Amino acid sequence: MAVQAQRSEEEVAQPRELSAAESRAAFDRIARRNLGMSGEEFLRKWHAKEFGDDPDSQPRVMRVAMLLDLVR
Amino acid sequence: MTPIANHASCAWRCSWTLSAKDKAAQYRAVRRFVDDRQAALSCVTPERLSFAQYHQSDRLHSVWLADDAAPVPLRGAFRLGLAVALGYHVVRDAGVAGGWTLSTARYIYEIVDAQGDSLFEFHWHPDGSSRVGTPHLHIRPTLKVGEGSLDLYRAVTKSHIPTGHLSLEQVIRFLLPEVEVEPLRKNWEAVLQATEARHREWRAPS
Repeated sequence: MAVQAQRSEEEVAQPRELSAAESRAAFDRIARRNLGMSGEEFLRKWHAKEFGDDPDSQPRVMRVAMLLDLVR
Repeated sequence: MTPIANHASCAWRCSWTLSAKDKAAQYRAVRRFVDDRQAALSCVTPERLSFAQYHQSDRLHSVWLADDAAPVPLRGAFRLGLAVALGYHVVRDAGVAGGWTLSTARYIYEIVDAQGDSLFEFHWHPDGSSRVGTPHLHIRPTLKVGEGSLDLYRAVTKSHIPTGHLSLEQVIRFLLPEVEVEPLRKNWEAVLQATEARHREWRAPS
């Protein structure tokens, strides 16, 4: 992980505001980046409880699960 | 994950008759919340937060760090990384300008090592599938004793890790099932539930 050059103390990045379609695309990207599967595949596995009884113990699964509302 | 059942009345969320003024005030509240989180994060990372465009809904709304929600690098000898995801509701609050504010309804703050493996995580996800709905901390086995000045394990074990306000009952619940302390009473769950409920009833408002 490379750290970007330090910005001035006053400079704060603007948050990205995503439309509904962009949010759905982001969910797919997030699932692929963190778990190597599509968003659709994640949803199928999540609803089938294929991540086990306690997904809380799997940080990468939780990163995606926390954002399920993007595709609801 | 389903919306939190005991959240403040859903009357405003279930109604689709908000005035344009209220909708604008809700949007300003969202921006204030996200912009403040972004400003706080700017102390450790130049990365941007992402958030779904606000729309009136009974679902939670999400904010997360970095486009792909993966940990972003932090400066420092241990080359740690940080991942952040939050869920929120917009709620009425007569005490703030505009009459609306945001209520955080879940979060994950994850700290990873230089390889991207999770070291420890602050979680609160009361509406999720986990059996633990109160705020908690996971310490992952990745956290190992290192060498010389780059001993993250020593740095962490010397530090004061922040937590929420814990009741004695929460600590005892942690000891019993989580680290396999053996209970002396069969009805320990009922006892803890009762004493905790009485404590909540009696304590001064915070």
